[in-house]
Amino acid sequence: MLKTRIWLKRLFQRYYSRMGPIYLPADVHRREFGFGSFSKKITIRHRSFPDERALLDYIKKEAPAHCNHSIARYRFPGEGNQMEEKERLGSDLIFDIDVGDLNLPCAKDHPSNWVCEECFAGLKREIVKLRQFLRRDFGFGDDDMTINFSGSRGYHLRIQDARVQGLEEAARKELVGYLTLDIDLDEIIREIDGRIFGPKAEENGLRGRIAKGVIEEVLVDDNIQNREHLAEQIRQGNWGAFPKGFGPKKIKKYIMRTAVNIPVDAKVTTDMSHLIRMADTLHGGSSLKAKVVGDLDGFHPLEECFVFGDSKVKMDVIQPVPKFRAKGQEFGPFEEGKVELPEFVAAYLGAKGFCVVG
Amino acid sequence: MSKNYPFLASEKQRLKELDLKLDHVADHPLYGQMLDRAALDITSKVEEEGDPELAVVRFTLAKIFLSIIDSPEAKEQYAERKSREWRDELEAEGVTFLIKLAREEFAMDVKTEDSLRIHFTDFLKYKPEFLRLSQVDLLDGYVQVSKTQLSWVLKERIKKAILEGIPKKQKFPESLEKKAMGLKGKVRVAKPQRERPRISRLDMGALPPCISGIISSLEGGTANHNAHFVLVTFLHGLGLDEASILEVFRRSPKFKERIARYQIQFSKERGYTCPGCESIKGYGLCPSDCPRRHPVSNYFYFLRANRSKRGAKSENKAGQDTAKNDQSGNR
Repeated sequence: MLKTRIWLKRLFQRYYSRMGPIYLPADVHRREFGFGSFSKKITIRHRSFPDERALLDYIKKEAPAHCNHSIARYRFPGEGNQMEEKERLGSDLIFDIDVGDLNLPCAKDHPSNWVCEECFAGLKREIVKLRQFLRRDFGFGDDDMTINFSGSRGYHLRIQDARVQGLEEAARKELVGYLTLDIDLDEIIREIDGRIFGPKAEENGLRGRIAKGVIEEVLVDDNIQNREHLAEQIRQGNWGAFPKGFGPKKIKKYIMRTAVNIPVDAKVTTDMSHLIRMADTLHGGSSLKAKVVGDLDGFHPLEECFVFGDSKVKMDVIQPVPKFRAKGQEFGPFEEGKVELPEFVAAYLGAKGFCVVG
Repeated sequence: MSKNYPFLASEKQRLKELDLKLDHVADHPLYGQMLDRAALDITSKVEEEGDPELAVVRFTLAKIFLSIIDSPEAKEQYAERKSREWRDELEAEGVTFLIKLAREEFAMDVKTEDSLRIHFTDFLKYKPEFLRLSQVDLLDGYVQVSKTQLSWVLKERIKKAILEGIPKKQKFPESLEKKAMGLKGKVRVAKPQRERPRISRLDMGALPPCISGIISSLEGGTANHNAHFVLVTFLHGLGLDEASILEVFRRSPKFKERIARYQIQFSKERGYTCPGCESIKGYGLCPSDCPRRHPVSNYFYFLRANRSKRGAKSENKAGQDTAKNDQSGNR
């Protein structure tokens, strides 16, 4: 394992020494930075740099396995280890979608540290949905949002707009609740004296989203008779039209199952001093680049985020590897034993812990 | 604008122009009396000064006293009460004034093209607890608000302005320090309010007799003002939301949604609470005595009593079924 880490470190050093321009957060001199090794994501934090050049020089010299920056801007980013000492000036709004939160059916078919094609497709569906909501409901333009692959198991979406900087934890929690449907449904579906009332499809915001999501599901639900009629009733806000047996409790469950929600990581969005991976740097747990995504539709991490070469490397497989495609080629499945792999695949499997240098 | 709002930037300018030295305030023939008025304002509700100069001097002195007292609770309590008082005043202003205040005083992003909307970031930063993002009309980054809702958002913003305007701890003239220290023991910190019980649906079987009677009179179209007041505050007390309360009022043959909605919102925004049994007796709306002294407590009392009755019935039934089964098993 140690030999593999040393080998990966050399690869990272080689990559960073030749690294071109990368995406950098606004106001680098106001950010706290944290760096990690191949065994721990953050080993050094509370670092600050006077400018972009000093930061890039550090990364080129040290080639950290993980590079992170604060979503907050501070008056004194490098001071002390207490956030109060740093004097926070504001925080970007960050959303993190991780494959672990998607509850995909494929999770039972592969090891938990593996990300399969279905996982990647699921992640893309969610990040596309998130972008749509942020556009339509919250009015952010594409220029306001930066999306990058997390480098391993998800996507990050960041908004650096001045207006979000002052949103405190409670406000961010409410925003997360709006996206994940972590809300009090008693306020949406009410039963008064035997009659059930709920949102109309024409309403804007979450209420309309709930009504539309349920209508969409009702129209294809084989367990419900007279589906068109029910859909029309819900459209008008008459939720009592659900068949007998559907009380408010069951309707709320139906909503949770059918209405659109986006499983963003609440901890990341609400933690205003969170350290997030620097976009366009390498992920020590995969060797992939946390690439900023321009065209989300055509993007696939295993096509675009490998940075290492094709020279052959002898590796020992220590955990069975499922079949996968990378850079247009098929690899695996590999059982435990010796294999010869292109450098970019060897680095990927080595960083993920499936292989060690042979 | 008919009232004085001493938190406005223009009032700070007015204060500057007075060229009043803190050392001389106590001896000033006109502003000296504001020392007592400001001290009183910290401990209880005092009528606002009619003169804008006096109002801004009093407001400034009150903030200096709070700085000397240096109690976070006292600061919070004062800012909360004053911002509520000014919100009540704002309620009586025209919507144009509120929009101007939001935009010019507090740099809020307000849109008025099709409807009154504020940017969601301003909404989230300053909304009161009872307004939720999940319940509002949100489109293109802007939340639709009523004039009243805007006044509540402004209330929180004013509160922030008051708190930010309290000077940092420093040495003030002896006369002010002495006055403030005399206040220290008088500032009572309010106990945190008990969280309201919340229910998801109204159980008509658990209503106390006064409320059942009021609902009957509502249905008959004979409910008077007091009955309306008791009913709406009672339903708020149970934690029901506007839509649910509206459905109860729909039973009235005189029901007009716009008016009912206004009354419900007005009551909630003013923070009116349901009167106790004694007051309800005084209104002539209490037909019989209840075990508790407040209608909301009685509702939960009856709710629990009904549940345990039902539980006992089903237990009896289960007992009988078991006995029957035992007998059939013995056969």
